[in-house]
Amino acid sequence: MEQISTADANASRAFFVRMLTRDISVEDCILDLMDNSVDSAWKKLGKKPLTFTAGPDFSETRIDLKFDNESFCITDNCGGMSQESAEKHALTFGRKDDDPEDSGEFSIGVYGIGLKRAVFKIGTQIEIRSTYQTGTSRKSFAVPIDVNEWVKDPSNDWEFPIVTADALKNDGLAIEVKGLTPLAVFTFSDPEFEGTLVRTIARDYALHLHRGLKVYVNGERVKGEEFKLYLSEEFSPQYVKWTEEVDDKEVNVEIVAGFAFPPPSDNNPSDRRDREEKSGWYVACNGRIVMAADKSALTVWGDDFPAWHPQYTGFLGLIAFTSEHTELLPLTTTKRSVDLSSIVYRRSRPKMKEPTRAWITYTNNRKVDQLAAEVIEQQATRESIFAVKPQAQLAVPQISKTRARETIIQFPMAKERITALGGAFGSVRMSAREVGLKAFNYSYDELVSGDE
Amino acid sequence: MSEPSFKGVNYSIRPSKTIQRGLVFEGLRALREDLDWTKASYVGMGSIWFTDFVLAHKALGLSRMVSIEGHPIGFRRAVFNKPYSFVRMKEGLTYNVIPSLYEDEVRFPNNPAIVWLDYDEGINEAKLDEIRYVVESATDDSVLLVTFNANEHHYGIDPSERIETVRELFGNLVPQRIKGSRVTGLRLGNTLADLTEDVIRSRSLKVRKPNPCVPAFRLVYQDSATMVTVGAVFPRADRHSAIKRRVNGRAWVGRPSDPVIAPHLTSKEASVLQANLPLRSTLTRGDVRKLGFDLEEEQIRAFSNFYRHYPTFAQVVS
Repeated sequence: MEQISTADANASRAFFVRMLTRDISVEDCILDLMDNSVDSAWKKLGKKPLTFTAGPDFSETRIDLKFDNESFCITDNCGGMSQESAEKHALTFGRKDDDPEDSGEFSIGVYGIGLKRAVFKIGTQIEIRSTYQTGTSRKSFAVPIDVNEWVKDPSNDWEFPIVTADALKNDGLAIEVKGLTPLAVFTFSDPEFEGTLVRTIARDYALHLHRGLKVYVNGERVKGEEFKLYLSEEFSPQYVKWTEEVDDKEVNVEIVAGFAFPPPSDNNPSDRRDREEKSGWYVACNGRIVMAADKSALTVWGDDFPAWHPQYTGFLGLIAFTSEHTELLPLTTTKRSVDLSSIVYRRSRPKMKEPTRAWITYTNNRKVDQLAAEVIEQQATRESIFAVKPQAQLAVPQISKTRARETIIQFPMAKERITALGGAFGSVRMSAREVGLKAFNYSYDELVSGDE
Repeated sequence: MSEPSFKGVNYSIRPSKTIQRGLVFEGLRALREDLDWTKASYVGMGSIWFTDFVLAHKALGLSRMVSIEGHPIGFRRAVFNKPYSFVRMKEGLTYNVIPSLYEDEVRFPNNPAIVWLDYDEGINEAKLDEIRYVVESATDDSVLLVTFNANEHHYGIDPSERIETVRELFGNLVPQRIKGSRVTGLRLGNTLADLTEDVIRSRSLKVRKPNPCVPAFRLVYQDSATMVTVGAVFPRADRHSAIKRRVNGRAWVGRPSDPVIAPHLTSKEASVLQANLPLRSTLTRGDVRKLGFDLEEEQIRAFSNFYRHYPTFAQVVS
């Protein structure tokens, strides 16, 4: 056969940029950049494992995020990247074969695809500036990228120039993006985006923030999610830890489980939707929460186990996997979900079911005398998971039936009327159940008692 | 000691509400020059007085009008008191009537509408749903206005309760840290105005992507209750910059920087003050004293800012 032509197998640069940025959101890109900064800081702090009860001191680490509908900037003081790293690893596409293995390093970020994908997704005029220590001296460089020009370049060498630059205030990275993509403009213009990003950071980096990490979003410091669980004589959260071994490699696992909100008082699923949104299982890998408030089969719910029901609202379970062998962690490539095929994760799931089952049993049991249950629940105080004491099982009280024969009174009523009556009784925030109960007792006292 | 009676409020006369209405219609009159309202409708809650409907017809020339009234007796009285034959009365809650206008009618959804959801009560989840619905359904050149009550007790008995309510209603639009002072007194009005505007802007960005709304109205006013009015324009794409320019211009009256708190004046006081307002400088307390009476500084400032919309009332005793 004769060759008659060639099919150009080289993907064009523009096509590559489109494919690269296709399946990720602007928010996840920002979190990828944060992962890189946090990882650098972690290396600087000696790569100590980050668990619920121990971890390195992040109080000197600071990451600033600033954005509006014209530009985006992330700055950190996490040591920066060396020029050699930029030349050989950080700004290449994927990792080259001669990259050192990631052993002995507890990391979540990878200077691989994440950095390029993030900046290409956000804009077209990019500058990555680094200031770092090398031996005795302090060096700086910048990598300017004009994406519009870069995609037009027909050469087969996919390179970015590295130029001299003034030093940053701190040893670290400053990534600035202008010429925002339409999607980035749209995202940053949404009044809801800043709050959503802040809350995602507060939740996903809760362990780091608890250890002092400072993150600022448009000048406002992010307060870490506190994950407080109820504690009293009758209720105690579970806190267990153990080690899983896979081929002589170790993964440390911890579980903290309890309830963060009192069980719902009404059968109204629309009440306190925010609490239901926060309930469920959280999974952390090397300190970062990769799955939050899960109520699906990805953790325990469904399959051979009860599926999630709003009745279980309040339950909070956190499982944290820590290891220097990141390939053993149940991380997916997006770092935003769990890899169900992970051996360590499969071994841990039965242990997650124990406290969950205890909670489900309790929420069923408490229906026997909901009022008595509420009294006991209200006596508990809320304690941070970071101060939790070891306890083999989730402790819950046993509610027994002590009251007279009871019947449920149930009827629909316009929400505005309930709110108004609640206000008359003392608070517009009273639950529907409380208002109904007060209305009944009020009428009873007026019309019936005195005859008893 | 209770408030002296000359500072008290006569519920049936609400000068701040009147001024607010005057400012809104002055703004609408200006917007009319940049938008096409030849077939526009006015949708409101006229009650039995229809004050805004009369203004909408006189000032804006609108003759397609819909008034919504939920109370059965109120409805019959409203039908009786309609100022014009072309006002269509609709009985029911806005929650049901507004969607039926957009979904069940033929002409209404194809033309612009100036919709003023003028509630007496506080803002809640149902009202935010209605607001989002109108934002999603709005045709080009429409305007949405929302008025609601910003009195503290509608939202909780103390600052921490009110913060919880605000968080439940507005979710991620509320910053992580919010001070109790921002949900107290008049400031609660400002906070709720900003957050409601954010809801409108956020939803409009999502549904009208390349051509989002232009926030145009933001007034906090107080008679006996603290009230908030916010509003936005949904211009046709090619009119977007003209509207933005107008709303951001110095002559725009729809976003006064201070809350509207009108002093209650006798007609004699109001006429004398008005006749003596200097063109270029400001009226001082000394000036007022020379005129023969006295007022507090904020009252003088409020009158000077809003005298053109000041109501004149005559009480008819028969």
